[in-house]
Amino acid sequence: MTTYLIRRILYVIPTFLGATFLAFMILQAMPGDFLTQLSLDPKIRPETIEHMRHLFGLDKPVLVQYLIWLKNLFNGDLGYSFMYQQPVLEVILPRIENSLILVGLGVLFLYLIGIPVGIYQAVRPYTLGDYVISFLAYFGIAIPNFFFMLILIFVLVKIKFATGSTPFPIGGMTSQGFEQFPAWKKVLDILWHAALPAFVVVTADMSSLTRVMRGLMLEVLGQDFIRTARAKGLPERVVLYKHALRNAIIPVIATIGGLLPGLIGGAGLVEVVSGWPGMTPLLLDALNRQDLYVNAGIIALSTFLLIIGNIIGDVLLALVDPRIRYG
Amino acid sequence: MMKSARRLAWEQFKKHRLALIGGSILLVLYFMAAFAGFFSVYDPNFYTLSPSFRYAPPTPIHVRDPDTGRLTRPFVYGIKKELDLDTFLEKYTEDRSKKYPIYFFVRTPDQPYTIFKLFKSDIRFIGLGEKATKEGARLYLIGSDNFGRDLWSRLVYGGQVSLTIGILAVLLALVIGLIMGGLSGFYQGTRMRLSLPLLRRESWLVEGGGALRRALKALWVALVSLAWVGLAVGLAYGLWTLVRAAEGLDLGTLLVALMLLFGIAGSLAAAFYYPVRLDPDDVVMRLVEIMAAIPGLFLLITLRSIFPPNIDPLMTFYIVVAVLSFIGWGGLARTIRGMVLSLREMDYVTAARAIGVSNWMIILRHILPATASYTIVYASIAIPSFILAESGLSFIGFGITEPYTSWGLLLKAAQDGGFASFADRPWVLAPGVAIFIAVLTWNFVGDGLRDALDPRRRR
Repeated sequence: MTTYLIRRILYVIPTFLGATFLAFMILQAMPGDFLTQLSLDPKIRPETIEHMRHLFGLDKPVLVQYLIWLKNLFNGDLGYSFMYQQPVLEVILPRIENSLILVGLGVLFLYLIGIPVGIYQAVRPYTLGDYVISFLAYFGIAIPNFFFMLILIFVLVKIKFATGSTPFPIGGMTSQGFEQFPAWKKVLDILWHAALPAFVVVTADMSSLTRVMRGLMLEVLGQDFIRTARAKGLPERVVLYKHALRNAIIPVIATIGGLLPGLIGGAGLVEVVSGWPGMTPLLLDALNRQDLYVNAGIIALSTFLLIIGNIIGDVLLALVDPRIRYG
Repeated sequence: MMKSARRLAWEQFKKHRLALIGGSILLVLYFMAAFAGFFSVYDPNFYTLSPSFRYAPPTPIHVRDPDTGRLTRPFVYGIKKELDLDTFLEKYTEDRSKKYPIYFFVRTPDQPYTIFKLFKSDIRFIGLGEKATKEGARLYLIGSDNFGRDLWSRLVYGGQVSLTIGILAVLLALVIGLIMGGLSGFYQGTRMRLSLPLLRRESWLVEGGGALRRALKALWVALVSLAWVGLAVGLAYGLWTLVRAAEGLDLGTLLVALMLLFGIAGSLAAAFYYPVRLDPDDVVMRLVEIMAAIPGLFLLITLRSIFPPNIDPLMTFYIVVAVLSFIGWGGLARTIRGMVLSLREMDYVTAARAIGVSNWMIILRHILPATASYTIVYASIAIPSFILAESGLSFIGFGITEPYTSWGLLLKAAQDGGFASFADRPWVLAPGVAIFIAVLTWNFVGDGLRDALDPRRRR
């Protein structure tokens, strides 16, 4: 297992280098840079801009810029944001944290709701409940998540007009007066704000998870060892959770790794709609302003998260499924 | 009687009721998008400044005559605009003094349209006619947008972009994915020479041929080696600037400098002594992995922003297609490669090779057709996801640009006014419903196709 893990981690290095190189080249392929936008400002002298260009190393060849950026990356320095006049790491880290709150809560919803619902459907197949859930699952897969968020906000606004208060906040991440809240209330406040967007982020995945879970569970429940277990008089609860579920859930675990990173990107549009200060709104801003190092930083860190997610998925799978050989 | 595979699949497909329903709805959607001019009420960019009908609600359609109470031809009243003195918002009410009948197959010479850029016409399925339009009457089936343009007409025209972009992007992704996956699988294990080291005798060997061929070969060896030396020089330049810029010795400099030294030594070795061979499969698969390592949405918007937003709108459309398929081909290539790896060992492929069929012919005529059923299923599943991706891209302003319109762009306009704004005018959310229906029905069709083409799923 250790060798497998080490190999798997070593394998990441070229991929990461390649991905950051690709991203850096794409970012550099954009016409102009932050300073060309600045040079339109008549208040700034051209000499100042030339000086800044030299200071930020923007006058060097692209490859050299990448090497310097990479060198600083290894030193934990992601560069300097033109837009925020701050080190990039300080700009990005809180945003990544916010995105991860959303995604983390979403994953919690995903498994806490998706798996039980799938089991419920498999235990009572071809009943009204099964059909209703299957129908909803089709909806969940087909609805664009940003549109779903818009609809929810629409409903919330309507509720607000009708009753004067809302069960969930309309957009944003914190309430007014957040700074004065005690710590526990801060956490609750953020979770309260995150609940709806987090749910929306995972609707599509939740819908397909219930479908997959239903199928897997039905397949296992039809097998001989389940009949044996029932025949020898085991309580249905034990048959379901100890015999069937443990076998049915293995492929679901395989998807965890691929899911986390997918959600980081997928959370993007929901973040934009619900005004959640996550990575995507920052990236959109930075792309519009051509804040090179913020862009490169976001892509590098999210790529890093994605790769970590994949490793976690692979390792989990190797742990639960003895058929996967490693070494 | 033996049934052909195609017939069998079709019979299976017909048993899938949801797929049939979905397929019929899709046909209707594509038909309406194709004949958008006919099905729209107005030109999608038609609006007037006075009177302006910003965010007008759906026009109520009446079927009962107000005087007699009997059923009549459907008609609408004129629109009266008032300022609500409490909220200072524009309010639209019916002007009961004027009645405008709704005509079917009505001519609207003031707003002609073309279908497929070929056929000019001005007959619309439904409308009030030119005279009523001039008098300030409007038929808004689902409301109007921020300029007072008819949302229904824009929706129908937006469908042209939203519905075709998915198909076009999938077609392009299929071409790239099939070629890359096919090459990668077929040539897996055959390592191509990337360097012809100067100091090795075999680099200079020429089979047969005269002086000319030998000279050409020598030139080629020199060029390839020169390229490697060039690479080494480039890396050395990078190393030099890096070391010069470094203040003291830190971890990052050390790591990058080591990598560079390694690269310089490697490329020099390749130029003079060590023959580099590379498996095309490795190249393609590593490329796919690298692209898969960047979160899709981020790669999408970053790629899109290479192109300035103010270029030609039609060009933007093609760029969005290209960017979408650039993101999408990797997964397909990976699966196709796996299938090709086993297909190339099949007897019929060996036979084809034995009678001297060229590699290209084998890939195109014998191997890729065998992946057809998977490819079809992939396409039907990928189309809705591309439709979603396009709508998302347009929604954040990185996709289609005006005057073209797509459902995502229409939704963007809905959201631009802030949360409170669309609470008063829910009809601006209609494009979202259109996206939803298109994606849902494509998913149904995809499910049906998968069941029909996968023998294990046959019922």
